[in-house]
Amino acid sequence: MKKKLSASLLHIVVIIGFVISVFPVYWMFIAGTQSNQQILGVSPDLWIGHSLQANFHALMTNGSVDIFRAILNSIVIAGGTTIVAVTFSSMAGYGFARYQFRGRNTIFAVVLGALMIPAQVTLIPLFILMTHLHLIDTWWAIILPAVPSVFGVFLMRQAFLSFPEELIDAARIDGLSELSIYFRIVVPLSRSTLSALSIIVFLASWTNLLWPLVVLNNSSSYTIPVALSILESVQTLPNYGMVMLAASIATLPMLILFALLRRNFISGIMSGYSR
Amino acid sequence: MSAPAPAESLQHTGSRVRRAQLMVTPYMFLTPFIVMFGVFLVYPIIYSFIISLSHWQAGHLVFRGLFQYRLLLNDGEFWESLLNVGIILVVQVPIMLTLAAIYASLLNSPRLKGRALFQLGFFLPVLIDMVAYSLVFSFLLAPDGLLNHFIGLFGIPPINWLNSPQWSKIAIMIAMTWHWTGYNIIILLGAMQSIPVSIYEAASLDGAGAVKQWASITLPLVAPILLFESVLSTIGTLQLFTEPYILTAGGPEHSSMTPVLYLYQVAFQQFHFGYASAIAFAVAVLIALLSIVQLRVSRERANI
Repeated sequence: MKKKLSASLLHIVVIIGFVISVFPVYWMFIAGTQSNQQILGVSPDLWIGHSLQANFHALMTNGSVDIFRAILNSIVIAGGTTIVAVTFSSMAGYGFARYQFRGRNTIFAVVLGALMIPAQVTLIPLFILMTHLHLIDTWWAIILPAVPSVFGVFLMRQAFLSFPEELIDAARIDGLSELSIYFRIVVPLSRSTLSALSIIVFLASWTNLLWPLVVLNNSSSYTIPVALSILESVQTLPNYGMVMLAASIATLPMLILFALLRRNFISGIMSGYSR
Repeated sequence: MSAPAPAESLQHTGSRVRRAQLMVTPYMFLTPFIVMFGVFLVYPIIYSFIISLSHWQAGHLVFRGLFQYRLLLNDGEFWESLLNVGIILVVQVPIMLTLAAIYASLLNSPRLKGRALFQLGFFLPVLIDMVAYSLVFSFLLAPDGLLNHFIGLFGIPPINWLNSPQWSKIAIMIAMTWHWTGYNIIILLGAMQSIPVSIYEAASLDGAGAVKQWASITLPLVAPILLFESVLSTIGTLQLFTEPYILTAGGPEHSSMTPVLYLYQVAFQQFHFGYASAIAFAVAVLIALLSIVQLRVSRERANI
């Protein structure tokens, strides 16, 4: 009897947490199909409304933000950042892990020290730098500063330290160059850590608001977070349904990515913690 | 720390060309990263410090020593913003981590049916972009929003969540807790699932009940993770920007102003680069100190 009671209590507590976690997301999608009257009515409607088309039309003709262009920008920027940052930082991690060379420990200490410095310290100098390089309002303004991933070097160095030496030696005897040993043997066998790092870098780029807000002023260059924040702020009379529809559309790529790469997501988040 | 030395392991191949190649190789691997690291991280950090010692006038730097930092010491709005994140830190992080520890344990219970679905639900908030979820909460917490409707069912009068100095920080904490608890649950759940079942089996043979097992096995084993989560949450809270930017714009009356939001306004709305850089460095020093203290404390506790 006591066991049964505590089992149902367990389920009730979990279901309450589950509903609180899921409800705001459900509401975001539902509100995207509703009109302001439905959203703000005396008895709120929690089911699909009839204003999807009207909201979509309002979103397409709002004149300040092109949500699909923002999704494209975000995909290119987060994707580009991930490819370059993961390539560079994993190569550096391999260099630190597998070779003896002069100044190795000093350089590594400097790199690690940068892990302590929060990103907003570089905000103003990077803005000045980007202005001088004429990169304001370009993809590069977002991608370039995100390339040196100190955490990535650290994570990959840890992974490469335990890479089996025999495999590398065997490849050397076969006459492979050091670079092709790395790209043809080490990289394919380190896929799980590399994909975890990719997820971390991609998520950081995808959700960043502060830096894109600083360097993107032209609506055609907005990323998703910037576009959503602008969409809300330019309205004099807020159209809740339209904003929620935009938020829903902007959420879809991440949900699709998660559905495809569920395992990598979880391990990516975990490795971000076990450093 | 000692990595294997390929130069030694290759001696039997005896090729001098090969050894010369090995001298250059490490730099080949490091150069792309180091160049980007120097240009986009080291140089900006140093430059930022120089700007913080200067006054920025029409694109030129005029050296002013510690003037900006002295100004900062007497800036009430800056101190208020620090106090705000301090309050959020002390209230929100413990609540969030307690909730995460409880829910991770419940989701790990073998008696829970439909575990996979529940875990997915708790993870869902993590997948929602920070701006998107802040927008959702700015509507849910609006004067005639759903939360006020809901508390009205219990006879509680509507609360002005976003536009009153008493409630604005609480509104931000509600939103943050919704978004970040699931994140912490996933990490804790991973740690709990890696505890060998045999430990629990041995404990139940000794007659330890579920609660006792939780207190004497699960909790101590995930304690380091919890402490690490608290360090990362501390750093994250001190850098809070997106949520107050969207939900309250730091208002009303600076009641939800945060240091980074203040920095953003000073730098990119008022264009006081020197002063904003001083704010940035002050916050950076604070973050470094707090995370060192927290890690020290956790290490000492682990040693006992």
